[in-house]
Amino acid sequence: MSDPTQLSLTALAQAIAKCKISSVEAVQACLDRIAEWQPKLNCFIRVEPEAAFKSAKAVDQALAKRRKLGPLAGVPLAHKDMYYRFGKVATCGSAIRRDWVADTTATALERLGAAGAVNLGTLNMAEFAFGPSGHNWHFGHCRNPWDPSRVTGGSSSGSGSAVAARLAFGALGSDTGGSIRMPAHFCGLAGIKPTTTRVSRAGAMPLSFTLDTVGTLTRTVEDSALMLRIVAGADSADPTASTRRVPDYLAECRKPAKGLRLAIPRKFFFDDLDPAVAKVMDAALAEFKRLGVKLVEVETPDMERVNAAAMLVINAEAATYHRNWMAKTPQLYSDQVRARLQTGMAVTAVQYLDAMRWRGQALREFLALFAKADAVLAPVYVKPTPTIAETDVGGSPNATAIIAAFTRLCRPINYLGLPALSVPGGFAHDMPIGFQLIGRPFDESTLFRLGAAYQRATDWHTRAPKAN
Amino acid sequence: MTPSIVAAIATANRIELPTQATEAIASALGATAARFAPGAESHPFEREPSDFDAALAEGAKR
Repeated sequence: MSDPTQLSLTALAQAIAKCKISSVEAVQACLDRIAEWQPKLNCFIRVEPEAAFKSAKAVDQALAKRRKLGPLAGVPLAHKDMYYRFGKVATCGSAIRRDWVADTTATALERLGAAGAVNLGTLNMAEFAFGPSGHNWHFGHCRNPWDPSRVTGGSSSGSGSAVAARLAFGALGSDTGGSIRMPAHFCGLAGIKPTTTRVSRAGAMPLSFTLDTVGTLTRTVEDSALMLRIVAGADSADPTASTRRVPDYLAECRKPAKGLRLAIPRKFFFDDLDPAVAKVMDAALAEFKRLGVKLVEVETPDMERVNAAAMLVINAEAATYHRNWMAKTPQLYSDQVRARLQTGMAVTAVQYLDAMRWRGQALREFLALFAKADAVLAPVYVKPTPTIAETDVGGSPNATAIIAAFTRLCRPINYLGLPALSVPGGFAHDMPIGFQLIGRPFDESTLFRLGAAYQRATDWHTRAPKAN
Repeated sequence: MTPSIVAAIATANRIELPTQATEAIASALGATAARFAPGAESHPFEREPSDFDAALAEGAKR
């Protein structure tokens, strides 16, 4: 096999299982690419070659003995540095936890490990996952492999950058206000933000106990389906994790999209679209139509209000987690994160509880759209990909507006608790552009079905950035 | 929300805030709260936060 890094996660897993390629070869190929790309992208916080080779050799030896292994046997992955692994540092992208050693292992990591995945190391991220652009003032900004002067999106910045550059085959991210969907959009990947509680959050650094979700970034929709099937499901370590049955998402990917209905919410979600981004959205809609999907124009409830409620919740809950550090070591935060946490401190109990008790009603109003459709299609971000320099605003007064612009179309979906899948839909100004498919609660299956059908008909997800 | 309330909350939480920051926070938070601004009609008196779990379960049924 010429270059295994160009395979999808699913294809590599099959190739290793059939002994067409060894796990050691796959790990070596990833490490070679990491050596080439890491100086340009700064997407890894820590690379662990010895541990990766040890795991890979164990997989290869087991396969040689014809042992039955898990669905990710020998596949090299890397994860956002906020998933705890016992005995290892989990920086959470922060100065405060620069040397903090985890005393537990995240359930999501345990499940991926049990499925045979090999861990390459930990990935860069926004400080405490509280930043939408990919800037990190402690470990250095993460860079987009399609153009290193441009943002990756955040907070799962390293996950987006590393998977898009073919340095790892998939990565865990987390999404509290768009932190998986935005890096997927900006880097040209599939990114699944599951329904709230679909995946255990045990051992994942918290930001907002109401809005946090664990999900994945991969090159294809099928890859995300495979990873989500493995990490989703009930967990005794997280009593909030849903006990609902986890479907075979990969099997759902093989079903045709014909006959499904897609809602198009022009108002709010399609407002102020850059013409080049609008062209990508139009082309994606036309492709779905060709696939036999019925397009239905719909009106959403007041999404500005949903966004404002989400802001109150995330700011208050983040400030709650960080209250002690904010009192004792405020100087260890970046200006931007400190300013956002200060705002959260000032949310009153009445404002917070009002935002929480409106959530059910807001969800019911949004769910009315699903009387006419099986899923909703919306953009992720309305403008061309900005540069790192133009969005490097720190804690200045501009920061609030820039953060709000990044998260505007994603954060409402976290407040509503719904699943959303970001899918590469084309390019604008030579940078990838995605769209998000939003589903009913716990109906990730329909999103995978639509996304996979779209990817069978298009080739955006096969395009890779070039090193130069 | 006024700067003096922000300052009082910061003091209660042992957070040091310069005057400029209290004004900026009061302004930003005021704008967000105004956009949310629950009205009596659209935000029934009886609702509790746990209502969301019921709505999520209802929404999952086809």
